[in-house]
Amino acid sequence: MKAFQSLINQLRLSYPTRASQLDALEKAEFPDSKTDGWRYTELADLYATDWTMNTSASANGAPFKSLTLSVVDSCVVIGVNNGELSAPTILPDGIELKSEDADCFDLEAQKSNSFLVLNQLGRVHAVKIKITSSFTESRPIHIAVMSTVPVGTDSAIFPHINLIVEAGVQAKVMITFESPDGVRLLCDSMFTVNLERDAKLHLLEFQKQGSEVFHLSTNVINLKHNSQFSCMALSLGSQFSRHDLRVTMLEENAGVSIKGLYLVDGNRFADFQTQVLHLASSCTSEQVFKGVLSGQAKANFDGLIHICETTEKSVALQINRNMLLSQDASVHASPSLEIYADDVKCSHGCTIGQLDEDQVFFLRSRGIPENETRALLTFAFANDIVQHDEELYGLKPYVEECINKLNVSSTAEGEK
Amino acid sequence: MEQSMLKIKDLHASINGKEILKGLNLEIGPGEVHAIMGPNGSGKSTLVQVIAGREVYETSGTIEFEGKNLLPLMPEERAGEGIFLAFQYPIEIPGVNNTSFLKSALNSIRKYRGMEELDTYDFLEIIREKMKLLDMSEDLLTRSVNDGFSGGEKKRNDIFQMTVLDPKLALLDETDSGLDIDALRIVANGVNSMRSPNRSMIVVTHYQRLLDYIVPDFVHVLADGCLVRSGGRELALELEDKGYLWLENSKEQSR
Repeated sequence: MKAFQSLINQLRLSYPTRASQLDALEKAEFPDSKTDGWRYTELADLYATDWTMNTSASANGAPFKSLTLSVVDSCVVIGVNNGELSAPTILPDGIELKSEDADCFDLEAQKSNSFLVLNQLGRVHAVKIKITSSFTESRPIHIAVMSTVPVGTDSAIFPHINLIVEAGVQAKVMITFESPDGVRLLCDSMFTVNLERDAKLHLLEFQKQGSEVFHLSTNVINLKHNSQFSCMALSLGSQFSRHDLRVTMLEENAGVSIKGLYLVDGNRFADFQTQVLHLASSCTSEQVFKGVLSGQAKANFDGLIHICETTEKSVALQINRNMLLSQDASVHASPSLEIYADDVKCSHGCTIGQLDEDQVFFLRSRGIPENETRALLTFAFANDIVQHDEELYGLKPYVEECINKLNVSSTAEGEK
Repeated sequence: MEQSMLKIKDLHASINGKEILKGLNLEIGPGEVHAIMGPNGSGKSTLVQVIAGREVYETSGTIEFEGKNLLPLMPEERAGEGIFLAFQYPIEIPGVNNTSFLKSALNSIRKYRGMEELDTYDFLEIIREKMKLLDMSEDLLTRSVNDGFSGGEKKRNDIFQMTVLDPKLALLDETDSGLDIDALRIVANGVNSMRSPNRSMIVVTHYQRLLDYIVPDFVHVLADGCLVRSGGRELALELEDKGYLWLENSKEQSR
């Protein structure tokens, strides 16, 4: 039987007008281990589950206290609960918000990714956020994606959000994915960002969903002339997470800087896929991704930089570094460059390693106990991604705690 | 000889099945400075690493330190007992701040010894004083451990750590390698300021030169995993003159 068949049948009954999505899904194949870009994605459990359409209101879900809502001082919280918009009626100046059924995304262009088509079939509506020139807040806009479905329903939710930052506007945004532990859930999310001329956005993406969640998210970022996009992507939760980041610099002088960190323990799996396309001249991009794995965790990183033939003076950098804290953890890393122009400055690379035993001995010989030594070195490895608190909106202590916990769990395993 | 501080008996050490130390004996009294010289590959670095607790070596025999066998102890416990190893190549640790590292180290050792841990204020007071001694610039404290340090700065940082951690037995592994004359003098000053009737040192070196600055009480020659000759300072000068080859066939145990 085709994956997600009963889910698709339920969605067909609920959204009979979404014929084009249904049609696209009928023709589409869900990816498997032979599909490019999915070779090392651990799909078996995702496909083996009989996911159902979520029909309950968020109020009926498992009780849940959001970490980010209690920590971050945001200028507004735009809630997306089980895919449905919930926001205050009075918004700060310069924020326009609506939810509508119309597509904010070209279905045709995304046919190749069946999960995006599934998102467009299953979404409650498209949440559209526009930040306009009257926006003056220095605090972040918080898009809080919550999933509070009832326990035991194996529900699927489809957040679908579109953000536009108008010309010349500067803003900070965070999008958070959270759900209670112990609730099995499929979260198939779609987030698009359009930066107009001279716009400047810092985005914090914070994924800390419950330990039984299957998380798929696709972020599509488009940059116009002289716009700047900086991003910190943190993947801390979920049983399974797959994160696609597609960034396109459409016009000259755009700049992109992305930092990412994935912490994976137990038998969890995390997957980052980045595509950075230089379609115009004089654009710069930088990607630094780090991963720390313990237990039997697995991770995958596929990074692509594509420099279009018609461009000049492109600067692009990509690095992926991985630290394995246990013998049983594994990671696949494949950074890649496709350069079709001459006038470029590009570099890419990846490393997979363990804690350096010379460093461990050095610190221990100075009197620091072994478990502290290992925690200190793991922290040092990950810390340069998350050292600037202003990029984390107050969540830095929590992330530090996550890094330290990872090490404690791996030490405990080592002692068994 | 009075009660010895360190007593090494029939010490064997091997790595990956290859025996490096082959039944080494050595005794060191409190306050004594012993130089260990010897050709490349004779086991000098292995000896000090084994004393400090490097776990990659398989060992047998005993290393008694103040009457306690060190071999079952972990490296951090040996540091707590008062052992300090200054590395031939000090390790770079990007991302770990030099000051907070040293504070953790000092407080771990104090904890091991049942002493109260120091707060930041008291700690900084100690390190400011020690920094002057080694002519260290303040910015080395805010940087990552040895990260981007020059060869001389790394060695100086190592000796600086020694002055702060205040060991009873200091092991200096080729402390002169990579140092120019000025840096050598500063490092040697740091070491000499640490000499006291209660603190012993083992100075490992290829060359006699370092011993002009750090004058040893005893000199031993290590060859093929054993001490083959022991003597006073003049042995170093003799070696400098004749080379290691003249000792080749004169293998004998020291003391």
